[in-house]
Amino acid sequence: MRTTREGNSRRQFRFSAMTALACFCLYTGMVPSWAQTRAAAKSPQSEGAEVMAAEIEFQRDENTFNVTALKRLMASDGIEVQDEIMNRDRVLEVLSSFRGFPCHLSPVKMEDTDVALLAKGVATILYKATETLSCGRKSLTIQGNASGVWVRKDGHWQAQIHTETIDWSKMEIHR
Amino acid sequence: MLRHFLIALCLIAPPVFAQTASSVQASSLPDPKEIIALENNLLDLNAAGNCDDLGKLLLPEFKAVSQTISDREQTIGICRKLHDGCTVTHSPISQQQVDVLSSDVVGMVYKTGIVTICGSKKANITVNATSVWVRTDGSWKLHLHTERAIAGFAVQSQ
Repeated sequence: MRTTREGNSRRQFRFSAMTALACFCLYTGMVPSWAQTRAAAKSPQSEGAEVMAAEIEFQRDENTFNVTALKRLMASDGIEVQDEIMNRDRVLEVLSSFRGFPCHLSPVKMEDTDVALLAKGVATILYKATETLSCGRKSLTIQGNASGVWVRKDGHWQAQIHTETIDWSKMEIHR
Repeated sequence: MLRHFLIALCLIAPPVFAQTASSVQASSLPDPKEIIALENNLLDLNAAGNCDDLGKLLLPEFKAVSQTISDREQTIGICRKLHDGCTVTHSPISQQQVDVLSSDVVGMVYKTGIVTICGSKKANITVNATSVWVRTDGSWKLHLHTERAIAGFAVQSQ
C-alpha cells in the first residue's frame, strides 16, 4: 500500500509539474516558438511548393470571384497592383461587383515559375500568366507576367503584394 | 519545490521574454523613409543614365517585370540602350506604401510617371510599380521590380 501511495504521489507530482510546465510554455509563447522551429525545418523545396500552391489558389479565387476564400488568402494589409493600387477591402469590393458576371475566366496558366525564399516566412513568386475570358462564342486570351510577395502569417501563407502586367502585343480575340 | 519554481517562472518570465523580443525587433526593423530614399535614388539613376551605379543596386538574381521579364544584365543593357539617344525623366512618386516584411526584406508599392524623349518622339507613361528590397551584408539591394503601365499612355511626335 505504501508503495502504491508513493507511486500515486509521484504521478500526482509529475502531473502537477507537467501542468505547470504547460502553463509556462503556453504563457510565454514557447509553444508557437517550437511550432516555428518545426516550420523552419521544412525544406526550401517544400516551402516553395507551398507558395506556388497558394499562388494557384489566389488566381483561382480571383477568377471565380470567390471573395470569402480570397479574403483569407490575402493579408489584411495586403495590396494588389493593377491599373489601380488596391488594398484588400478594395480588391474584395471589385471582386464582389463581378457577381453574376456572364463571362467565364479560365484558370491561369502559369509558366517559367520562379519562387525565391528571401527570409523566414517571406517569399516571392514570378511567372508568365495566360488566361482566357470567354463570353458566349467570343473569347479573349490575355498574356502577361505576375509577381507575388507572400508572407507566412498565423500559420499560413498570405499574399502581401500581388502585381500583374499585361503584354498588349500578345492579346488575341477569338470570334 | 519544482512546482513552486515553475509557477514562479510562469509569473516572472513572460515580461522578461516580451521585453527581449520587442527590443530586438524595434532595433532591427528597417526605416520606411530609408526605403523610399533608395527607390528615389534608383529612379534618379535610371533617369540620369547612370547604368553602372544602377547595376550596383541590383542583386545577381534580380528580375525586372513589365511586358517582359528581364534579368540583371538585360536590365542594365536596356538602361544603356535607352540613354543612347533618349532622355528620361520621372515625376515624383505618389501613393507610396512600404511593407516591412522582415528585418531584412521590404516591399514597396507606388505610382510614378516616366517621360521618355527620343528625338522628336515623346512617350509619357504612368506606372504602378512594386519593388522588393533585400538587405545583404548591410546594404540594400533590389530583388524584384515590377511596373504595370496604366492604360492611357501616349506616344506622340513633338
